[in-house]
Amino acid sequence: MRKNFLFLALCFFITAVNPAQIFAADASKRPIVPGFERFSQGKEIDQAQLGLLLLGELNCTSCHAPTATTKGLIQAKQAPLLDKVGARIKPEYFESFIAKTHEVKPGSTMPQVSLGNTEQEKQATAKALAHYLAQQAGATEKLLFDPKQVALGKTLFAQSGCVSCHAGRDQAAKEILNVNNSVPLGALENKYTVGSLTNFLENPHQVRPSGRMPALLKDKKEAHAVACYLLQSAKASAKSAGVLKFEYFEGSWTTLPDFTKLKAIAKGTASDFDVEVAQKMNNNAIRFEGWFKLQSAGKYTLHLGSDDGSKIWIDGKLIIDNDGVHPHTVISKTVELYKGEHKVEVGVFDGGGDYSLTVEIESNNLPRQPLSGICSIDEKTAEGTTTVANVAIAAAPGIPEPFKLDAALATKGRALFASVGCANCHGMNENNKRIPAVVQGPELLKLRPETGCLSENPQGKSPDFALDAKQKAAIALALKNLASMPPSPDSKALINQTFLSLNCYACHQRDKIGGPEDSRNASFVSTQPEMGDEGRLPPALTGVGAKLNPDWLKQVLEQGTKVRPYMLARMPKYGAANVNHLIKPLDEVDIITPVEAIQFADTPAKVKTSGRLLVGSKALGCIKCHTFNNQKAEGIQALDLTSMPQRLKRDWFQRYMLDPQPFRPGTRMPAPWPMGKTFFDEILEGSTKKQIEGIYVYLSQGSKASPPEGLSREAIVLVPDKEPIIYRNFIEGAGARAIGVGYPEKVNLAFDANSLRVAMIWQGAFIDAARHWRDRGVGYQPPLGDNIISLPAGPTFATLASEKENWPAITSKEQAGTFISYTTDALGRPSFQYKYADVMITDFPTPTKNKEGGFSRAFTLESKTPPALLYLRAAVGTKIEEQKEGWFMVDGEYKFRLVGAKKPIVRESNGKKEILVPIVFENGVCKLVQEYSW
Amino acid sequence: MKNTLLLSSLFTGLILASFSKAADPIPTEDDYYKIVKFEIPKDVVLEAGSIELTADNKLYVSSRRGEIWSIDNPFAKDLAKDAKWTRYAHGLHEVLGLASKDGWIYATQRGELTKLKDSNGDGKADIFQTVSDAWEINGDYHEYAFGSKFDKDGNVWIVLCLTGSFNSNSKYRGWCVRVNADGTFTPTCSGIRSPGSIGFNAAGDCFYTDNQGPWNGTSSLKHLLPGSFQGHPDGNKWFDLKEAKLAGPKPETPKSGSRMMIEAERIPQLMPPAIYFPYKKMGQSASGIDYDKSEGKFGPFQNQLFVADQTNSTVMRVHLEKVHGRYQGACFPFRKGFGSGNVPIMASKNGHLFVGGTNRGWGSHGNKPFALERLDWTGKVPFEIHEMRAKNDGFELTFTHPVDPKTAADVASYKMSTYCYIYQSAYGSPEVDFTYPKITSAVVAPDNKSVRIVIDKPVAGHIHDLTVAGVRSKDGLPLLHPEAYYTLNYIPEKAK
Repeated sequence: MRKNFLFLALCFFITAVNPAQIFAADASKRPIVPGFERFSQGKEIDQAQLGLLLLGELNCTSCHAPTATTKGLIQAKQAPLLDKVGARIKPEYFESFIAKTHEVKPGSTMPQVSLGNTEQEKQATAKALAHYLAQQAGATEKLLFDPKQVALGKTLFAQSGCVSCHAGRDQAAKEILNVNNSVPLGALENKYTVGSLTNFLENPHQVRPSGRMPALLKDKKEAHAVACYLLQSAKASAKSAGVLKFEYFEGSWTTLPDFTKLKAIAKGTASDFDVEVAQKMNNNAIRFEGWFKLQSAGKYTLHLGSDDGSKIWIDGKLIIDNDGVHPHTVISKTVELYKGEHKVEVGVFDGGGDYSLTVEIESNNLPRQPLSGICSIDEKTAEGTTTVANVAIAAAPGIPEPFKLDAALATKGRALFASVGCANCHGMNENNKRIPAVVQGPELLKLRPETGCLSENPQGKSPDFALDAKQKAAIALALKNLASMPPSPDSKALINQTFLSLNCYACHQRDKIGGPEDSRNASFVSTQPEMGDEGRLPPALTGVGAKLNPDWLKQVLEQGTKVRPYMLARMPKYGAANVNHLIKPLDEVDIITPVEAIQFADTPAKVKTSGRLLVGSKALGCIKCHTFNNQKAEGIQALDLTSMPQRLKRDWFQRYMLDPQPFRPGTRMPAPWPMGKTFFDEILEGSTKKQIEGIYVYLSQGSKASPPEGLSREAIVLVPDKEPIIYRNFIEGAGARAIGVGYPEKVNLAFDANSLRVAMIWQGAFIDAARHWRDRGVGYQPPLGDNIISLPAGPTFATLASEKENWPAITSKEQAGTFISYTTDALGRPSFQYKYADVMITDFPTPTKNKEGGFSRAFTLESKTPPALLYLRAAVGTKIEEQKEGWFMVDGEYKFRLVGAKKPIVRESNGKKEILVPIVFENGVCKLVQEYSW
Repeated sequence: MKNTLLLSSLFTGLILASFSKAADPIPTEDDYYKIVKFEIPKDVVLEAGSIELTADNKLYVSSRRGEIWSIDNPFAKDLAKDAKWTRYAHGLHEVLGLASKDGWIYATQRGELTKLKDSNGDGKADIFQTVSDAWEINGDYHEYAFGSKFDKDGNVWIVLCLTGSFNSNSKYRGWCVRVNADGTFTPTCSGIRSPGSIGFNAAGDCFYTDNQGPWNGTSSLKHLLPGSFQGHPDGNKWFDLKEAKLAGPKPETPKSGSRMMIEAERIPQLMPPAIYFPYKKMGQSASGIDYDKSEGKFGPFQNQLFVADQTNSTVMRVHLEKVHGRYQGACFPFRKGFGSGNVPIMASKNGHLFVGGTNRGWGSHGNKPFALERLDWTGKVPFEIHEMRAKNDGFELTFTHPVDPKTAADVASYKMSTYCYIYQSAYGSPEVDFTYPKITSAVVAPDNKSVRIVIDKPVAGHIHDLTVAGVRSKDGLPLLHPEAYYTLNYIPEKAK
């Protein structure tokens, strides 16, 4: 009764979200086999073949014995292996799933097995089976929920390929129902713990050996992240209420304050021990409080890290004192904790600078992880916070009372496991022997439509797959045709059947069938959007047997691959047993006319040299878009050239290079030999075929191939010889509108035309232009030489209201003034003109003759309406010392002096020393010189 | 099996092509238009960004490395001997626009329009004066700026490429702006993505080329009508700036996944491309623009536009007409085989076309890293489709030579398909919505210079991809280029 009520509440909740979804949920009780769902709507694949797909995916042959003639036609999917299933699946899940399979997981390919005649009997059978399964214990990963992993998990789920078969998730990570042809995941939080889901995602074939769920994730870390993301919905609902309570205080402290004496500025709930709840960076403190539950008593290590100080109390007792002002410091302590509920309190404060807090727990059987993963707000104190989301979670069908294993029931369940028919499909070992099936249906070829499993309402012993009419019709058609089919499928049918059952069509097109569906297309993304669809969509597999070397194909299918680093969707591992049978048929079916062997007049070494020449920048320039042995290309970073012969068959390579379009319609790969003609008559006798072969031979050396010309980005050092070299470009330290000048005297400067100042002066080498001149030219290039002096940021000249006023900062280009021009003198030296407050300023730097190297900067200011209180800021520094002959030393780095100027003002401003020179006009003109030496 | 067939037919095609070349003197492009190479001085890296011809017949060529070279005697027969090279300026920031006025050279750099002058007559510029720097740059390589020649009002038109070719992260990125010689700055059109060049047609209207990418299914030629929106919405954020008000009201954001003409119906400022260059078929990176101003000295294509392609190292030909008040028309292959990746082109009044190239960062069929070439007309008129004009029920084709009326009246001499592109925020688009109109009649005009073809039926918003393989000239020659691609944004009303 309670369950029903809650279930209704859930329905109401869903209805409130989207009324359409309720129908979707109801309609998708039928087993979802993605290939069937997708192709039964169209005509690309005939219905009988789709019927065969269902016979395999629903594992019909485990009850209905195939005959020798039907065996090869059906690719039966092994149901999950149930050894140690009690460690993988939450025990509470079994009973409800067995009793109400289609309600608990709509779309499941597991049928509702017949559990008895009366409701009571059914209940009892389900319960006994549940206890038997729960008894199958084993080790499982003790990883907990880590909110910091959710973002990575979300990205992986959305981009690496999960959503090619599964539905996407909404903001709260809840499965979006009824996304076309998606394998439903159901309420994973009821079934898995974070640890057990991590285990499964890391190696799905261990439990589901038939490869329908391929191994997509790289390692445990990724699997854990995806598990955290998928199980976030449970946590997210908790998050909306929070797993911790917090109080926020403001004040200035050097040790953790006594919270009891303070009044909180803000209170709320938090999902983690995280200082992000603070309302500002510095001078505040936070107190967290929550509860966590331990499954067993024992020694637990707590790790408390913070910047600045923090403390942790368990059950009111201070455990770690990490107090005081300090950078992020972790203190660990091991304590004995009893089984059950514990209250945790953490306090943290920040005086200034960085602010951080980490609280972690660890034990012998619990890897180190955030404590918040097992925290919750105490129900008693959190009353009134029951949210809609909470109801939804609590009400999800299949959450019974806490589970307690009953050995007697488990023994009963063991007998039922075979008699009910579980053993027909599921593998379960007992004393290293698989429990044999005892249920037997009629032979496959003797099945009649509309009876047994295929009847309107399967009765008696028949399992109920919840098949819909379309599915039944397809199965009936397949059964009808089976008798007359040849005993083993031809290669083409075998490929197609495998592509259907492994759902290769979700990502790949082959012979105009399949490829990403419109609803999923946008989830395929690339790190290089400029490559277009080629950079993001998995390649079409039309003719793939003619394209790829069998060894490579085998490796790709078995192990997955990442030859396209820019493509975020991954080719997952399918496992040798599930895909090896594809290699020979693909090789047989996909053929192209062979290209006859080529006789070179040149020696093998010469052929390779010619191939190298062709690939390089002096000929075809393949390296402009393709990486070479992981060295970057100039433009986009297409597939690595040195991987080509390892992957590609020679005949295919010959044909493809001649005309790429028929093989990859829409490819951006240009035809290097348009109309079959070469541009290079002098290479390999001007023969197109020989040139293509030459490239193949050259690239066949793989990583040992010597790099082609144009690959390395050699420096382009600009060396001023007789006259200065000007370099307007992006210069680090001088902005996007920099004007670099290198002088033959081996001193250099960079003028920033945005802020109208000489931004840097340096000695020795001028600049390396390779960054901007070798490829597309992105980013900022620093000076090449030595003793780089950065002159003060901000305007060179400014009017101040008084001598006390701070020097203005430049917030926009317009505010700095107007850049007018530069003119060059007879020696090619530029003189910069810019305008500030109606004053035209000429700034003419020239190298000085002194032996260290320096600049003399001649300023001429002209104005018809000279402003009062205009200053030149000659220098800014922490330490400015006056020396003899008018020289000032700035921070021990460089010296300057002023010639023809009014007496400078030395002042403190913004915590620094500044030298200001008052500008006084005579007849509208002011001239002065600033000399630099360093 | 299918693959095998396809390939064998491909190979047969190749064999036939080479066979006919050997056995039959069918003229090639080279018989009509010759490519003459400039000999670039040793050690000069002239990755051509723009070309200008001044009144004193000096050719100025700017480079991506920031130099400007002046070349005396650019029309010389023997360029190696007679062309004289002088480095006019250096140190500029990737100059992709050159214009001249009143003794000044105007150079569009990434960050500003600058005017340069050689005040002491030593052949080298010594004044570098900023005319306008009212747009922004941020260090991203894609933030190119292409500048035009002067229009009749004394403006240089500048198209500003987006940041990274996807977004507008700096002021006026994704805009066309006008800068007057007096420095006046006028934001003019939004919606630009990644331009390849900018130029005028004979009527003085301004066009630019944009390239395949987000909101651009393929490369195209677009008319920069002031106030128009050219299709990529990211730069529209700058409508909030005061001076941008001059470009009119901010357009609505187009719906991704739609079609250009559906959105153009809804968004009045949206200017559909005048010409689509079907990807691969015509080129991959449309660039330089100029029109034939030679009054016959460059052959029969007076006032038509030439548009270069960087990837394919080609120059294409464009005939435009106005339908429903907007430009649309056809593009045709014209000349291939240039040395590098063509970027700037410049047509002279005395009948030459200067072509500059670079393939740094973007590969090209022409394998030279950079090139400067001149295309000269040999005086022979190729047999080409001269113009292709839309009619209510089909097209009118005119030819450069009288046609053989028998082959020209045969509907089997023509083959047509139509398609368009998805107008979307994702990169590029496949050709979609194919139709295969039937040619129902082909009527040859009494002077044998034009043919009216009626098709069932034209599709508005589609490229009409026509191959005229069967038509022969009265001398029995096939068309030098049988392909034509008409961008039929609008179908004209029935003639009264």
